[in-house]
Amino acid sequence: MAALTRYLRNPAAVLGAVLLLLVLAVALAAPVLFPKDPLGLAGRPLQWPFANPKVWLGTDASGRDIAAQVFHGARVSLLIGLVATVIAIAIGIAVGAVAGFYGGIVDDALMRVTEAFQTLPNFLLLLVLVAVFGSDITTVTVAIGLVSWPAPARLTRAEFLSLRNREFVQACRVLGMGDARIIAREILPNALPPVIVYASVVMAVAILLESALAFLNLSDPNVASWGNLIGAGRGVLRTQWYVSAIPGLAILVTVLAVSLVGQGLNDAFNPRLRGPAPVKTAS
Amino acid sequence: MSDTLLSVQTLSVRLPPGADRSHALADVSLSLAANEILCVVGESGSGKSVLANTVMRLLPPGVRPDAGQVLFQGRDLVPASEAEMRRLRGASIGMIFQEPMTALNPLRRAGDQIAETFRIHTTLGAREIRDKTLALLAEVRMPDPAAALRAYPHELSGGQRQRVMIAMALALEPALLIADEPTTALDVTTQGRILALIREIQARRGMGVLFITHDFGVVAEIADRVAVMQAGRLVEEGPAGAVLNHPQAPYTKALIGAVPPLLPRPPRPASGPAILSLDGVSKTYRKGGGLIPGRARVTHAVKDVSLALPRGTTLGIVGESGSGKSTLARCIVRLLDPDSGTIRLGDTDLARLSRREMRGQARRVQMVFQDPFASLNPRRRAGELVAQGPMLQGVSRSEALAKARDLFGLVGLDPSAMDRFPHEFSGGQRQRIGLARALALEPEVLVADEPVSALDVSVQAQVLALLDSLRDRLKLSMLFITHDLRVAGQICDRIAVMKDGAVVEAGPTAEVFAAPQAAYTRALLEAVPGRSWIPGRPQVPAA
Amino acid sequence: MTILLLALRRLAASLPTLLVILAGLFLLLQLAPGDTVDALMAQMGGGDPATAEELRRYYGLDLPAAAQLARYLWRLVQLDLGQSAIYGKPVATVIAERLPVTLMLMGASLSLAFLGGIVLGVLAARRIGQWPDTLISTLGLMFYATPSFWFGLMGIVLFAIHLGWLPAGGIEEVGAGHTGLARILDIARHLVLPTLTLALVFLATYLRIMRASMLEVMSLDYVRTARAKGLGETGVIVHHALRNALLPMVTLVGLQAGTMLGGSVVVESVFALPGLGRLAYESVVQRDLNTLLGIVFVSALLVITVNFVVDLIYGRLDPRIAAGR
Repeated sequence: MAALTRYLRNPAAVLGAVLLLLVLAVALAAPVLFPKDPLGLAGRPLQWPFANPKVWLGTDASGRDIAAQVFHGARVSLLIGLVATVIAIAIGIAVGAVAGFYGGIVDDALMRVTEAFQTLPNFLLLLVLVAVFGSDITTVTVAIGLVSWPAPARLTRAEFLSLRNREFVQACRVLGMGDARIIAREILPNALPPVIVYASVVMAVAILLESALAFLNLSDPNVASWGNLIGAGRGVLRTQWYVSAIPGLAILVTVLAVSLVGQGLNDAFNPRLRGPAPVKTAS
Repeated sequence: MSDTLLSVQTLSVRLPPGADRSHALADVSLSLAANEILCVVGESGSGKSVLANTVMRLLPPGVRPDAGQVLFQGRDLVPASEAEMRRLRGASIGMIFQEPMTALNPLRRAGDQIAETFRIHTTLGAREIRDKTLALLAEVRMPDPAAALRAYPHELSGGQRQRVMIAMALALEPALLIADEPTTALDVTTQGRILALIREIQARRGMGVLFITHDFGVVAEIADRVAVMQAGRLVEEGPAGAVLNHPQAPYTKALIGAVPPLLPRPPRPASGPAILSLDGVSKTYRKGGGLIPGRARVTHAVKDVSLALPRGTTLGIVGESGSGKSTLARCIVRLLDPDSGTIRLGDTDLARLSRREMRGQARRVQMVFQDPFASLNPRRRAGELVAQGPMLQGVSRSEALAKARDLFGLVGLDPSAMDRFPHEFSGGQRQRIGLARALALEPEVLVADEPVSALDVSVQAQVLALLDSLRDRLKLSMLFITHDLRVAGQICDRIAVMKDGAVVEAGPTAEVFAAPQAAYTRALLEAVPGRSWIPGRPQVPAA
Repeated sequence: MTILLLALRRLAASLPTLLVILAGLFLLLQLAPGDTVDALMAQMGGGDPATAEELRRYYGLDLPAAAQLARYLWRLVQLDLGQSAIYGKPVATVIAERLPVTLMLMGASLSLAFLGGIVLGVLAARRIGQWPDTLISTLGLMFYATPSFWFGLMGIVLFAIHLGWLPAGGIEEVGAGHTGLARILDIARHLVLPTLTLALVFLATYLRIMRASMLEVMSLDYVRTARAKGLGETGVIVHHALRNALLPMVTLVGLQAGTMLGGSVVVESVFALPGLGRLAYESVVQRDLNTLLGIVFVSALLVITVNFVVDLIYGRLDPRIAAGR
């Protein structure tokens, strides 16, 4: 609870939480406010924002409502970000925990694989996966999760490495506790906070990766994604730059919100890292 | 006093809001003459380090003096500008710190870091600086000054690094040397040599030394005068002999009373056969080399150790860091697998058991750990931590918790604190929880790995007394690992001295203390600071 | 010398992983619906099955997967990346043509992000909690949260379309016939926006790490020792804190080399730069899997090379490495 108080005392963290709630509200409101297909024809193409109250953010080159696409896009971005993050963190924790706890050959082998994944540029790997398995939204989400696990795995491993020889873990061994239980019940809860915080980074990157894929027309074209809309606006960038600008701002706000929340959580979990070091009266 | 070098007058240092008290120092007055060593003694939180850092003005942000003066050579440093302080630091006031491992920049050569002091404060040329640095390294008795000049900190031992620190602090012949626990992180034999070095240089140069320490043995070894601090206040000050042997303040009396004298305890009769006997136990570590065995570096952490622990007695394993004593303890409870030898507990050879079989024997041998902060899972409640062992052995939760409640009473903790988390307890209380956890399984043998070395001396005395009384009440057989001969003397019936993985001497404590056979044991005993001072017994302090 | 040996050993250790990865990717591509020949036929506007068969035999696509893999790996060892179906040239040639642009883009972006990150990170750490820190940290967060392609597009709108200061795309003025210095300046002008676009995200990351690293180092014991010697703030930072704080930054460059290469795919597409990234994009769209695999191979080599250099630099910075810690 001390962590919650610290979080609420941090203005940047509160701003992040507010922005994230806003994006969430937008995502939830999308089907209510824009019940029609956001990719359907809404009016004359290329109307400027605030020119027509019916399509208040204007229309794109195909005459689709930009506001509707932005609102529905929030659903897509949050969902992809969340699911991909869960996949990446789950794999990362499993690999990192086993590698860090057992060390030795197991660690060597798992770290080789992790390094191999990090040696491949993740966006290129994503391109390969999409090229092979197609670009419907499920595939894209899973693919993003699959290219994002190495960093959480390294982080989990580092935590396990530093915790596994801590005296409280040795005490559990001396009491006769088995490995699985030590990993899951004793070490993991202590290793988790930094990994949870890192999840915000994974989620931010996942949202950015999807938008980049969509921008390149390699994500699901049947889904109202912010990246798709930006890509669609490229053709009219010279004159109707707003088509690309508006969804870009949406991405910016969402990623910013996720990052701020992550940083706020980090500061709340590790109060000593904020500001000057606390005063030590002990000698 | 005309030759007063440093005079602290009614000094108060305020802490930022939210700290555990309003002032780190409250109304402290003391003075230090040129050419004397003043020891400031206190337990953790007494403010002794804050005092040292206030003189140097190296306080953390938000902490500053709000009353009083710090007169150095007659000049008040409290209102001095940062630029003035920089001119004093390193030139007129030198300082050495506690942790030689972290106090030197790991990326720069030792000689370069000493030379930096000259570069900051003088206009000497590179050649002169080099010559002076070499001379300094020779003065602090560096084994090979020319090699040390080029060495990086990681290539030096702890004692050598502290010598580099001393050379650095002495470079410009400061009038005042501030030493903040300079030997606390060192082994006892190294500590003895560093203390002798400081004493010798102080006398030769006629420096004033402000020596911060928590250890009354060190005080007896080195101090001309003593100032005792408690919770930011000065409780007593006077000549070393007077304070050590005729303390006036009740707090000083209590502190000195808690220092174990370097005397063996009266031995108890060993009843019956050994409950635990080691025979030819060895453990080697291999590092690096990977799949190519020839390239691995092999460390013989434990070499062919044979020992016996008679039932109902305490066997001390004494040694410095790297002696293998902790490795040996971990082999016995099978946190590590010994390479060879037998570890016989009753009629079971623990060394032969598989990990799974060992889990079944967990009940019989338990361990108490060194670090009261690292040895308890911060996310479990105290009661649960104690109940965990019996529950793993199949005892029901409610029964295990009821037992934990009894154990809390046994180790002197309030059973109503069972619902609290470890961070809500003090260091001594945590050590009691660790002890209760080990006792919950009613072990035949208790292995205690430096259980009091992280505690303040008064808390240490309480935990030692508790261990002693529990042993008598529960008929415990105990293996007690320690680096501290005073502690060993107080609690162990027999001791075994380890060096470089091997036992060099073993026997009843009284015999070993009275007539050490091995040269190393003699060196260890001689290095104990303040060895000729017996707390509570009036005597001339050691020169 | 020890450092070089250690770095070489790590280099050697990364090669088997690379082969395993390539084998995995190759088998993965076997799962892809449609192969190079299908793509080729589609480009030719269809064709009869007999021609397709003949082409498959020509490219060795009629063999079993294992045999194809073995052939492929053997050719890789000889640095033969095969034939690009779409460009009708050896993949190695196609990649070699595209590589310089990507190398220039990455080199420029990395330098900008690294140096900028150090300067801004140190500034922020020195003024923690005050306005320079707040400003720098906020900018860093914004850069971090901005999708690079969007940043590029908005840069084009502002600097190329509205202000007309910089070109909107391409690597040089086509048909201008610049030579020598004029050509270099022309290319540099074309690279300004792409470099900024690619660098900003990394700048944000680096400055954050540098700031945290400086804060950590400044609280360490040896910094207190330096102060106790009478060294001033600037001296403490320059002589003691900076080099120590750089260590995590250098590690990060190695870890992020791959990410940066991935980022160039997007940036090169935005600015129509004829680089490796754009080639990757084109080969995905046109299903030129041979080329795609070749690009992945070369990218991995690049990342490994960067990490080799990073190991050398790290070893120079930190004497403990040579001692094996």
